[in-house]
Amino acid sequence: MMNQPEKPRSKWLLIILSLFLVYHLTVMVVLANSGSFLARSLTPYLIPYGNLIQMNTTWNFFAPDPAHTMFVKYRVEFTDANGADLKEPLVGFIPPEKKHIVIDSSKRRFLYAMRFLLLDNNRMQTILGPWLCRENPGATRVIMENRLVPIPNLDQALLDSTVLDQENASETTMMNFSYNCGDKNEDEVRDETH
Amino acid sequence: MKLIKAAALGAWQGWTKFWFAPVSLFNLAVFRIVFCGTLFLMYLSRQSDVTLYFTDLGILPKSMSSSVMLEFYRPLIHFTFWSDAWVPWVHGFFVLSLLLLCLGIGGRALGLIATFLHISFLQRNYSIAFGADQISVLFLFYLSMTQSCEKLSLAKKIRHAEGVSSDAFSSMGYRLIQVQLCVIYAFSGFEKLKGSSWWDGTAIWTVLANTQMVTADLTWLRHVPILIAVISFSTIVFEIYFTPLVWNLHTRKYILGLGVLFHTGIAVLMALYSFGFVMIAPYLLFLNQETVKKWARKILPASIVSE
Repeated sequence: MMNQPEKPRSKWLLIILSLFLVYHLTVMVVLANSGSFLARSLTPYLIPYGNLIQMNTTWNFFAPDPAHTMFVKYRVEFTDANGADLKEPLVGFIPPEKKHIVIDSSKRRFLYAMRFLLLDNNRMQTILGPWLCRENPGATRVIMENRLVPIPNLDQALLDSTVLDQENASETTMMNFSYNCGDKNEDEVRDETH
Repeated sequence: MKLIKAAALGAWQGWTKFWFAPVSLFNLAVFRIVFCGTLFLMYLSRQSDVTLYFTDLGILPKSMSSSVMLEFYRPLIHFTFWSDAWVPWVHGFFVLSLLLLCLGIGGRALGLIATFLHISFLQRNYSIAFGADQISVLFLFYLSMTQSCEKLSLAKKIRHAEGVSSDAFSSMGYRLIQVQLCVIYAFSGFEKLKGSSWWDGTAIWTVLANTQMVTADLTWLRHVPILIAVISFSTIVFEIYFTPLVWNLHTRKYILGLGVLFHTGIAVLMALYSFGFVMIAPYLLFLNQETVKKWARKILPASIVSE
């Protein structure tokens, strides 16, 4: 292919490398569509290697459809055994910028991490809840709201530009979570999907 | 029988020529500099956040690191064997190894160590993985198969070592980077075909109007809806047809040029600079060595380029 003097290649080396290549290419192509029957059927043979070197990715960037704006509103409570407030509850958002533009690369990584956690209720409950408890020593309970801000479609935006006003955009609460910082078995989940 | 034997021999020769014929170590070296330089900057910026992302004091305790992945995707072996106290040091070494590779120091051994560490950090907290992280693991793995440090290398300069021609592993790594790039584009395009907004031609609007994804208010683009439709459809066409068009010598330069525009647009509008460089860097492996040398001469001293 290039202007290099060709070195003699060992036939056996090429055969061994070819066998590796056939297997590797199979993993590359089949796991890229990991939901397929073929991938599920070949799981025991492909997954150990594919998962080890991170070939288990489906490459679905902005697919099947780009996601809408989402964030979490949380309230951290500090109460005594009788439920009386020991100090003012702390209210915040994850990401802190809520639905505003973020340019800093470090903050963007955090933003994408949060989006990943918000996509799965189990992750929110088992990871975000305990993390907020750890971040706020003395907290007794964390209440989280998974909020979605739908992007108006292009037709709507052309008809009425006020639908693009981020400050007044309608927010839908997709799910409510409550996490008791002291007792991991008393989590509550309330589905408010509309 | 003779025909079958001849066909099998022809197929074998074609296969070995494609995968194992000598490749340009110069192009590989330029790819190494751009790719490892990008990763170095990307992960240097992550160094200040390692406690948040990779220790039990942060978002995800080590005991939960598998639970963020669906069971199907969980690795059999976890590479992160170090304690939390070592995380800044191990991450720092990973960043340093990328710098050394960028300079052409360390060769295959350091490449494999960097790949191991890269996978380890991805396994430790998959939730913070960008597309660039996932793609770069694979490219780094393939790069570590090659003799990319044989050219444009500081180590070679210090030792006054002679350059060598590529071996079978280098050729294989070179081709795997090319093929992996094609697979990423193709599946990315196929996945988009499942989405109604991509069929509708308004998917790009959903991205550009989402303030969590862009770097500036781009909602004014609604006044040029035709542009939104053209960008949406061209994205799918580019991704799906990248593979046949890049292997065709007549269309190669056009599709690579379009790819540079495509990733530059994403980088500027969505601040995904690292992703852009990680995706554009392998384009160098599709170019003629003389073309890459001609470009390199404009930046580097002629004595280095002609080594």
